[in-house]
Amino acid sequence: MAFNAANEVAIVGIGRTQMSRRGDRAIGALAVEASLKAIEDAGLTLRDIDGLSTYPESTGPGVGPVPGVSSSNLQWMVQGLGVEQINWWSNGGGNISTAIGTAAMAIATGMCNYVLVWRSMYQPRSGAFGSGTRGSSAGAAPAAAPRAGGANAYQAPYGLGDAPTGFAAAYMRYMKMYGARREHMAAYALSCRANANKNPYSMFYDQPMTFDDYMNCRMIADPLCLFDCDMPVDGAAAIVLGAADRAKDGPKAPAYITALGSGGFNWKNRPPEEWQNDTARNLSRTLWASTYMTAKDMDGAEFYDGFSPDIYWWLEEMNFCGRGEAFEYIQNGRISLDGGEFPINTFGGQVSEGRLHGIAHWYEGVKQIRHEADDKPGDGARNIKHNGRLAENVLVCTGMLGHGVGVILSDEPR
Amino acid sequence: MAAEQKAIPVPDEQNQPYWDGAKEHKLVLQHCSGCGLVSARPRVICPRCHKEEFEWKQVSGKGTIHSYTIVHQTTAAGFQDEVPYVVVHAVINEEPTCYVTANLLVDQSEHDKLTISLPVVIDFEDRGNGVVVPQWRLA
Ligand SMILES: [Zn+2]
Repeated sequence: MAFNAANEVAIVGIGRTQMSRRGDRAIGALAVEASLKAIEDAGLTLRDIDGLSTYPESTGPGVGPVPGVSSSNLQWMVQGLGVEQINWWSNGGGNISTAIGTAAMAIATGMCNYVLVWRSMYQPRSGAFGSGTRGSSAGAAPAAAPRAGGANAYQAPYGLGDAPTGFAAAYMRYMKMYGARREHMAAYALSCRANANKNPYSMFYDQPMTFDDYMNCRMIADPLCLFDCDMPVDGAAAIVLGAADRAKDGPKAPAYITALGSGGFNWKNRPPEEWQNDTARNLSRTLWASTYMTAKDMDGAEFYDGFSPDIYWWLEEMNFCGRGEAFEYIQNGRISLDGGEFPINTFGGQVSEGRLHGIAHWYEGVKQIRHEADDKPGDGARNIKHNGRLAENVLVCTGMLGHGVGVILSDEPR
Repeated sequence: MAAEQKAIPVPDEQNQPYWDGAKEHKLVLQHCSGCGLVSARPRVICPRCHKEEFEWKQVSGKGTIHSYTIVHQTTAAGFQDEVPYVVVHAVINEEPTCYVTANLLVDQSEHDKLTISLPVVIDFEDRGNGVVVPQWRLA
């Protein structure tokens, strides 16, 4: 059992917007901007797009979503983008990796010619993404105690609900099991920040980070400090997928999907840590089963990092090191763009670029395969290089919480 | 003051016995009538044997720490003044798939000594106005 359409689908266009914090533009407009750029980048017009796929969820309970303003779901995009004809579409479930995986399958099975996938992120003007509860605003009279029903009855009364709290416990367990310390994670944070300093889209482009900056960063939920969490933004990115046999006719080098895997969790798993382990493990098994290539053939990887410890689970389950070894694996410059043997999150990751909720990893994977990962136009400042050779195979894996999809993007069919 | 602002659990048809048990200082969990699976959150069907009948029964209230975090910054109502506080996911002794999440009532001076696998025992916190929530303590 494995994906049997390796080399039949390619990512042929990418587009994105600038990001901002609590910006003034409606994110529907950002989604349209990113989408039109991706379509143009693919050498296509809107009329060529006959498939649409997205993960529309935007804000947590109590905030929106208002289509066009705080979310850009499929129904809104048909109007906002002005789509004339759709032969296939998908509108949610899982996360953006799910939307991309199903889009690849739709192309491979001939359901449509080109699929546009977009993801837009909205940062509420107040409160936070995914918060189950919110405090009263400064200066206001103390609010009455909120009432928590259903699943929230087991969380909010304990001060649970913010996303970091759930992931922090998973990371704490990892540290206690294997002896990892925050000093180890500094290697990831600093590597990401150095990459972000070469990425003009990054929210931290002009802000370097030192070891002391990381170690002294304020704690959110021990062991997660602020720099272990991705930064909420307004922004959007989009990609266009098409059949590989006609992808070579486009203006840009195609990024061929030469392997694809997906995975989910099981009923005994405790969220989020065991959901993540199981999802990554299943994704790993199905991805490597779809290709003759192995981890050793990868020139680098873009791994989803809503929180920095995600990187440990990815590296271990995707077979780059053994379980409980990732915190040592990332030391000594191994994951650095600057001569490291296995660069990861070459755009800075979400922890140092901003949270586009997974789609920026795919955008960057394509940039690496095109050898166009630049800072100033054309300088290739972020291109992965191994002894002067540019990237031929890059692993992109996103999702992980509950469902994940990963692919190998390659410069040629393999 | 802060305790009065903390979110109030609202029982529903599915979990009423859990909250009624808490008021009597008992940890009462749902047991599958078919295979005995114990669940922390109410189910409508057993994932192991697919029976749809359950009994609510008191468990020992003993468990071990599976994972935990010490929260330093939060938007949760009523908790801003209580940081740092501990949230524990404890696996109960009766059932390795059953995790009961609560705060760990422990002095801040003990935070550095916490680790996974420590034994914990259930306790109950009376928050006034009839609100009682299960909480963990170190055994
Ligand atoms: Zn059963």
